[in-house]
Amino acid sequence: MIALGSLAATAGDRMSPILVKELRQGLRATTFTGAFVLIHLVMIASVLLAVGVTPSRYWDPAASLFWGTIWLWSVIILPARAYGELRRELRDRTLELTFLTRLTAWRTIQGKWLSVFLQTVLVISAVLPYAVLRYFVGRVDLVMDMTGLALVLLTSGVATALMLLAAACQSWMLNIAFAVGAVFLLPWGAWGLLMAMSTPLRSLVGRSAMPLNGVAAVLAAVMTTGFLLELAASRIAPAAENHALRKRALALGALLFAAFVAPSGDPGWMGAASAVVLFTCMDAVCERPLTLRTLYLPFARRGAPGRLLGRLFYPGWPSGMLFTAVALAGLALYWSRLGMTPRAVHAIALALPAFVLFPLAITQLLAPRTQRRWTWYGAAQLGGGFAAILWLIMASVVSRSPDVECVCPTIALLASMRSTSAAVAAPCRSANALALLAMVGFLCLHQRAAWRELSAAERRAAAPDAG
Amino acid sequence: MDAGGIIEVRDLRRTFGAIEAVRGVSFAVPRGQVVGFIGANGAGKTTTMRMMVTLDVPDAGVIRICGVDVVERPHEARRRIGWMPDSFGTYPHMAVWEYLDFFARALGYRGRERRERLAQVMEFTDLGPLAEQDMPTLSKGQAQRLCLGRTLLADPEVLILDEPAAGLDPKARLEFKDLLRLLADDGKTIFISSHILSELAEVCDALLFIDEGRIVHYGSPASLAAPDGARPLYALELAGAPERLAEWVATQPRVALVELHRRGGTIRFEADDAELIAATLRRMVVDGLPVVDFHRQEASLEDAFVRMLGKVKAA
Repeated sequence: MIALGSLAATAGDRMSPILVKELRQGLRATTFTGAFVLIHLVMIASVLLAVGVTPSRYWDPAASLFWGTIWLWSVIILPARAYGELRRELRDRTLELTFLTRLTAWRTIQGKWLSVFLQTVLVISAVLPYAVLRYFVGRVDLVMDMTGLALVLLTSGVATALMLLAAACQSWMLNIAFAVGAVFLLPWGAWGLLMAMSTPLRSLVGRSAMPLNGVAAVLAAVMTTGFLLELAASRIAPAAENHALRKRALALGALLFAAFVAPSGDPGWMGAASAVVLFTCMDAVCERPLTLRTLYLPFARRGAPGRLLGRLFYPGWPSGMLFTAVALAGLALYWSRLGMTPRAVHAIALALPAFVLFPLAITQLLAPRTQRRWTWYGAAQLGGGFAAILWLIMASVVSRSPDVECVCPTIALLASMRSTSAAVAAPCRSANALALLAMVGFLCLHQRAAWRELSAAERRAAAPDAG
Repeated sequence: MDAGGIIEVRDLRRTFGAIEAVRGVSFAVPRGQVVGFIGANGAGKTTTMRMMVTLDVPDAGVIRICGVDVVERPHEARRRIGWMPDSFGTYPHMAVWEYLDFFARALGYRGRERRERLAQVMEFTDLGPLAEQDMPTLSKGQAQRLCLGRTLLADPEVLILDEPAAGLDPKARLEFKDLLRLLADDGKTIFISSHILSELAEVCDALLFIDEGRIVHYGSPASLAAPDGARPLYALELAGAPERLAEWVATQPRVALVELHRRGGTIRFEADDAELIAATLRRMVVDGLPVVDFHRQEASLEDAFVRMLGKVKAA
């Protein structure tokens, strides 16, 4: 009892300071208290509706009210509040004061996310009695309802992480991209999760073991959340924090998990791991190289193996290129294990690096010293995307089966997915390979100075007084 | 460890696109001194200070606080620095004590130690009566005291304060000056910026002037006034006919007229020579100038700074 008492007394000390702060603020906000009361009223209304109104074949007003309210609250309002809070802290510069303490950017973002997640848990716990009531009223599948609530929780977690990333980016262009992405992707992701989870949960009720694809789907959502949070942390972090290491390690971890642990060919894992790897590569080649000793010290301390590892994990686009080479090779290997034809693997092995590196080459060519590398990179990537779409439309207009491949990497990526005759495809692939080689050569030439600076920083960090 | 000063800045540079905000700034601050950092808006004060507190990374140059390179070892440096920014954003739905409690937790204080530290800081900054008040409802002066309280939580050796008195009413300004004096007496090194000279002259051991990203003067407040002190100014009031003063000064060899106004004027002596000044006053009376008032005019620090800046620009 005494141990329990002291544990309770020191529980606050054990919690993350940012979580304590966010919960103190969040639970007092009108958006929480007011809406919490409102949600109970709506839930009572939904139960009364379930009792009084017989649903038609196409529409169940009680279910719509029940689910609509929970979704609106957990997937839109709470994540939107996380977005607004972070934006306000960045605007008022209150966040940078926390970076002068022991709190890192990761702990800050993680605390903010956890606070919103716990509030969502609170809301879902509050509606649980109504879900059970709906079951007793009838016409409700309790397993489906529980699955749905778990899905809301997961989607809310991903949505909150996405909103935090959007807020951390501080670029209106990226924010629009995130908003569009959220509108299109979240419902699809949620639907996929629902499909993945509902069957396993039913089988669980039927006393059979939970199939792995449901677990994999949940893990994929958790991994995506973690990755988005790490990306957000890297956007707000002071220059002295190395977030390249964590992001890139997470991407490689996701790939290894997908290749060796997750069920082979699971679409959830395959899609999530591939997206994480590709996005990490794009992010890595957009990083500004920094030569602060603190970034190099952890690697320099570990001698030659540490320095070798550092070549993959130092922040900055030169190490990002090396990481891209390793990660994409891993991704191509993973895809080849999924039963793709050698020709498709070959085409993708050419198209993927080109897809990542082509906008980097454009950025290095037009604005090598820009501080807004993501903006330049994104614009080049968008340009490639538009060109690809135009090409596909033109090809479809001109011929029913276009036997054309193109040296533009984004087009090549799309073209690799279309059927082409071997006679035409082979020379086109050679042209693609040559273009890719030229691009890599150009980038290698461009990064010589950056590598020299990086090596000097490495030596400085390895010096005896590096502490 | 800090032979060159507890704060040592060498050839600091920072550009934002085409704008050179800081151009080769160098200075050193000895331990325990209160140094005023003065410059017009946009002179490069805040940029320099943000680099000093690890919130920005310089393009070139070295900054050492207590011997620790803040660019190379920011985490170590942060433990020694207390930073008070010019704008103080508040947290909604948070009481004063909760704000301090959050930062105390973030600094690593636990349990009783945290509660004791909070009590000390709240007593020093006189925040006790405001403990339960919501942050957004604080006045500017109260908010600045709270911000100073947060800065003091880690008990840093060096305090870097950016325009702490800006926007304060006279009473709050006096209270804030008293707090600074107490901290200086406690042996803290204080680096404080302002664009209002008179605000700093009383509390500072030295003044550091920055203009267009360059240091233009570093010395005691007295050293700033010294160049003009060698040629003192005297204000005169006459009982009518001030133009007679101009005619009279024109006949005097070692005196020059600076300005003439409705009731008299200002004259400058060639040297700060008591006998010369006394003899001149005697001659005035003998020659029939109706002198009602004659007193030495101290040059304000602002005037001295503007004159010095003019010289620097002319050079």
